[in-house]
Amino acid sequence: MYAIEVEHVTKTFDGHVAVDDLSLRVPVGSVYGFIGPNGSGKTTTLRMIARILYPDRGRVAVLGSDDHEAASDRVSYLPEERGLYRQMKVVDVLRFFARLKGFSASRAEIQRWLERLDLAKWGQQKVEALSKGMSQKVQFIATVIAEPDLLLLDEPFSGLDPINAEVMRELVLEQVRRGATVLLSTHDMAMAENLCDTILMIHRGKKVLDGTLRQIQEDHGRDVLRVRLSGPPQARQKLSALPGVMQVTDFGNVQELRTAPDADRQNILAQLMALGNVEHFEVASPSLHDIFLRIAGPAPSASPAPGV
Amino acid sequence: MNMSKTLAVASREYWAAVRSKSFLIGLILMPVWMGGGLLAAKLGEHNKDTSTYQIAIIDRTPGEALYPAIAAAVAHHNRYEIADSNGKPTGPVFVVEPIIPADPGAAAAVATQRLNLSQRVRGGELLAFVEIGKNVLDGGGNPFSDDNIIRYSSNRLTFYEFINLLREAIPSAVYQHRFASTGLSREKLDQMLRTPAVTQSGLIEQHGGQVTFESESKRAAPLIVSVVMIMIMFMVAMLGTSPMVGNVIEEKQLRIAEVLLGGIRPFDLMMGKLLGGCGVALTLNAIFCIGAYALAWRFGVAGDITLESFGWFVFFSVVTTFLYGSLFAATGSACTNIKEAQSFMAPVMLLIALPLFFLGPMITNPTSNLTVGLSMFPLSAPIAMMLRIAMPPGVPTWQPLIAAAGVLLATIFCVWAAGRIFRVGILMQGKGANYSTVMRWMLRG
Repeated sequence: MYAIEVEHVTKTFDGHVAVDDLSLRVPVGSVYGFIGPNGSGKTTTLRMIARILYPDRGRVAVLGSDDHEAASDRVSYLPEERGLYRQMKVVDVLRFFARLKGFSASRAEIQRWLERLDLAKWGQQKVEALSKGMSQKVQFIATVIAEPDLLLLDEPFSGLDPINAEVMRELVLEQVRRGATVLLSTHDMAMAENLCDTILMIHRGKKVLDGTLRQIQEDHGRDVLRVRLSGPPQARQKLSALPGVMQVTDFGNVQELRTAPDADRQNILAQLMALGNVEHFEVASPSLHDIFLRIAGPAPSASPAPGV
Repeated sequence: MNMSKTLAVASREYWAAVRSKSFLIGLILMPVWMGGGLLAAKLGEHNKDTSTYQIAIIDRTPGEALYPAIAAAVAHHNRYEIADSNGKPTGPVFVVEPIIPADPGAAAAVATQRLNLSQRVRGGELLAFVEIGKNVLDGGGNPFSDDNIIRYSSNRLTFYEFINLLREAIPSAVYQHRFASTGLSREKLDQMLRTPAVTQSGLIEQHGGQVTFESESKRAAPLIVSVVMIMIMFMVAMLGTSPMVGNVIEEKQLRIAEVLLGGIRPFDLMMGKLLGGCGVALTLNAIFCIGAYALAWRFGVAGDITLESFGWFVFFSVVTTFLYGSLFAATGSACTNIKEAQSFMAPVMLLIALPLFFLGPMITNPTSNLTVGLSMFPLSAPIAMMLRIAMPPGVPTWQPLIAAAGVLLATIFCVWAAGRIFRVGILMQGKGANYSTVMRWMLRG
């Protein structure tokens, strides 16, 4: 059973193909992560699922219905750039957005939500008096207050400090526990790894990744060596010259070496020991961050070692 | 259409508008705008021009025969017409300066004299100079030749006091001269030349067994009532709907539109806005109509506001609000900022204000082809038809019905077209649309 079925959807704006033959399926009750660089088509896809935009081609079924009107009250959309009436009181804004979802929010319900997000004393204030983080939390309440079956969250964690990001993460999970399906887009790879059951990456309008984190990592192989090399600084500068090493990312205390598919790891370990004292050596899968950069980032700066 | 969501938007729009400062300012300023003309006229009465003006007179009649009549009229004016009963100055003082005419045979001399006098007018020394043709007294020959006319030359085009004095004084003096040969006495001539007064009066009405002419205010009531009605209708529709442009742009800029469209169809959203605007307009209408009715009652002309004309007023007010509102909603959705909206608004405002340009001719002749045509044309019908309904001789019943049907159809078309523009425009960011793009949105949706 799928909450969202997108089949061969294409959307073009003035000759620019924003979404190109995209297909995806979001299982009911799952957290589905949308990643991709800016301008890759994430928001356009979310807007089509939210029935704000119509696809040029293809099919978008939401909560089992192709009808654009049928499911709208059961779907809530949190846009990337928050949109609240600045001159309205917080409680009035929440009541208004709930009404737009066909839900009559009681004063007590609104107050309960405000208290949960530490906004209780701001209920009678105008939105313009809120900080960015507080506005974001109000916008989130407006999205979930009607208890929708499907939540479409475009960058829900952007601009939040770690404490509020954690609060928001917990609220998203709570919605899932309630039975809602969540489709969220994010640039926070760590959050996507931890939160999402399934991850889809879209690049230049096309799907380039789709699966669980484990599936994605397996597809990319265990081609990362995570090492900690102590010794003279010059030693680390020689890492990219090791045979079989394609790319080096130096995090300071830890260095990550991306290796060629046929690289001899034992040989690399021996070479590392020759360069200095190897305190840590681990064969690992690439992180989502690495995979993202491999697909969407610039070409690797370090040249493959000779003979690879 | 999802009425519950549309009403939720309408309610928000209504309360946001009536709680805004601009609503309060409009509420206060509208009577000021409407009463501004009366106030200015009142102020004008107390701020009369009491300056002293010098006028040069070149009298080319034989023996400069007309100058004494002008001098006498000026003396009469300065003695009796420049102050009220308390001696407070109420008008300008005139001083006439006789000028010896240049030789009429020497064209260059005449031109030089005129040039010199013109320079004195430009320099502010003179208000004007007056040339009286040499044949004015006998009246023979071409009546429009220089010799047969009295020419008043000035750079003060809107100053009529002295030319009016000439128009009153000179004909009488000329006739006196022409009839002098008949040997009649001056008194007899004055009597013969006296023009009977033609005055305007109202109809007869009966009060407590007494038959009297209608009072001045009673006669003016239909005109005042109709003008006040159309001004209220126009201003209220503008106040109720024009903020929609800014509101829609704000919703686009703050990305509120995206959130709204996640829960409501674009057309329902626009209809909610129109209903909200209509609510604001009706609230203002109620306030101003109560005020206007109280004033009408106070001045005894409340009877001139019939139930029929009030019914049409409410109908036209509502459709006008939807008509203007749809144009403003479409304008707001097609623009990304207020600056862009200003250039888009200009033709829309022109379209809306068009019937007001014809207000003068419509009032002067409410049964002319122009007025009837304007009262049938959907964009001008609310104002023109309202004027005709409230003013004598009134209109045949079928005409407001036809006009109402036309306005209703035009409103439905505008709302439909605006809905199509709104649907696309509300999500557009970055560059605003041009007219051809808006047309494409309207045709293709």
